[in-house]
Amino acid sequence: MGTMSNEPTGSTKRPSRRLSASANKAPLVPPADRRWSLRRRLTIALGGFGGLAIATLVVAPLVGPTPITLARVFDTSVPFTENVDAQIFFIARLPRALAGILVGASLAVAGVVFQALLRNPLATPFTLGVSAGASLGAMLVITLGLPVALGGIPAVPIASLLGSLGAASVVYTMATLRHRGLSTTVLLLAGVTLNSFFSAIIMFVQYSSDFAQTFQTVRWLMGNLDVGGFQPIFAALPLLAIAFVMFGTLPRALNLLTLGNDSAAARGVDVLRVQRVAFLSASLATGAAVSLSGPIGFIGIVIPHLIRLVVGADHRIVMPASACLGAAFLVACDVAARSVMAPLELPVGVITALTGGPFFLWLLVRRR
Amino acid sequence: MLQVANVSFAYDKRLVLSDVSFDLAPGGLLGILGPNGSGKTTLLRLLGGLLRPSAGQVVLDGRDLGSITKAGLAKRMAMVPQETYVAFDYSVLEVAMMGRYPHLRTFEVEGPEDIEVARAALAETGTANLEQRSFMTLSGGEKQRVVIASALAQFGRRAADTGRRPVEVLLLDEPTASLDLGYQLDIASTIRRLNNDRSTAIVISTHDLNFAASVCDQVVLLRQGCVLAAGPIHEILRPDTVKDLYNVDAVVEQHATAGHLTIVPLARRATDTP
Repeated sequence: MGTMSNEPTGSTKRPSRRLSASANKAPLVPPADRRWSLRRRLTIALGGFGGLAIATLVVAPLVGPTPITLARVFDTSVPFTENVDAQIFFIARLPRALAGILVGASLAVAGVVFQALLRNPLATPFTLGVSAGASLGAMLVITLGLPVALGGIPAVPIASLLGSLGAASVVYTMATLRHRGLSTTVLLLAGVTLNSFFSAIIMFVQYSSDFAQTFQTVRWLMGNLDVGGFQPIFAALPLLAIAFVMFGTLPRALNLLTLGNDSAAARGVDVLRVQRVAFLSASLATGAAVSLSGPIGFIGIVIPHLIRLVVGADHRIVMPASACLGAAFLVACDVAARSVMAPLELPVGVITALTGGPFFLWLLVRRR
Repeated sequence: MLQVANVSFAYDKRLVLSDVSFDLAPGGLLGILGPNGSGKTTLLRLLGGLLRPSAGQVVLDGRDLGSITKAGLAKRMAMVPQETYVAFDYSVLEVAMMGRYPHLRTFEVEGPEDIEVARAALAETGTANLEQRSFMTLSGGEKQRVVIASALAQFGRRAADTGRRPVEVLLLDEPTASLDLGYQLDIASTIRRLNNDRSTAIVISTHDLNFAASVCDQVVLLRQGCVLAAGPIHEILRPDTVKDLYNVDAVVEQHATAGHLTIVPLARRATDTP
């Protein structure tokens, strides 16, 4: 279906400036109702991209050093305790694929939301300092050697979540402190500043910490989906659920926010409430995702742009489609990370950046 | 119908509007005229309910704007900013459809009726043929008319909407500021037609006296946040009021061919007043 921009506009070769009725174009352009129909477009997008996500979720755990087959995984004649294929599939590999689904979907949608909130197509989930806060939290726990675990959840994810939420609240406070409502300019500047500031602290602490700790921190910063079981996923799930319920209320209002705050408000949008929900939900989703996997770049910017090229700009389609494609893309990248140099495992963040970076540059050149 | 009663407004401590009062009759076409920085846009935002007055009241059909819900207000009052930048690649029809926001519940999807309303609005502004184009690729004049269509789509009623048709007020902020002569004429004729055909009440803020003279019946002259004069345009626009407003000597006369007042600035006067 493509973006609607390239559709022929009837018989007009150049944009007509005359005030003319629509009567002359009816036979030339097919009625757009069917093509416009949101439900139809949403069904197609979800069918395609959702199917892709489910396919990667099923296929990814089959790939690995020990070959297993779906038939033996779901062979009910063998008890689970003796079914090695099923154990590898469900215990060793499925958590990793599930983490990929959750993290990929969260980062992609958070990217869409931040781009709409800031009215800036180049914003990412990490623009507002959330990942820098998370990294700082994770690094402090690693360097200070805090082995504390809370209810079976390791200390690093907890610290990174606290760090990201801390950074988000600093940025939010800055943006609302001396303004009527919420200043997106201050939001952006404070986020970028916080990113650099936290990076400086990270470098300083690393410089003064020992080699093993530095190595561990660097590995965390590269991003990794090896969550080691279902426990961290269950821990992140409630936070992600809250974020996604909030996302669900946003799409139509985000469409209007891209017209500008005054235009949105004049059409009946409660702008401040929408901005708050957008900021909180996207920060929460990003924080929870980063606590699971470390900061994984490019998903939050490449996926939304790609989706907009395919389905248009309507957030009611862009958000769910981005979630599905982000999930599928990250799981696929993780399969590549595990396979390319097997048995050596590459950090998945390296794969997303290596594929996403050039692709995004191509998008930029292609578009303008 | 739309009454502005002793309205003052201050950003932080800086007083931008002080004791502004005027009335807009149903179906009226009012121009708010004044130099840059005289408070025109702030006044328009107050009229649209985007800002609350620090003192005084804005009353629509007997009700204070503050007591009307956002959606309720948006069905009767629409606003077109000076320029509209859209961050993503929406089609013209999608932009027009955004005017249907106040008519839809949170998870409701636009139905055939809404599409019909949006299309009719595009037709009313002469942009129906652009329906499938990308909004980003339009010229300034086309964008302006599509945004006016999007604003008109806010007024469109569904079959289920009963009761008397509420008054419509369209607020336009400097609608021709960045347009060339041809597009200015397009916008002027669009505005006059909306006012005649739908009896939409229209408020235009502008610093372009000739444009105002070509469309408005009534004017409010605004200088440094105060009303200098208000009333029918033929009574209010005179050499002495233009001089007070802009510190400029000007000829003001009825143009035989154009059929409205024209203002020709002659010379800037020495600034004896701040």
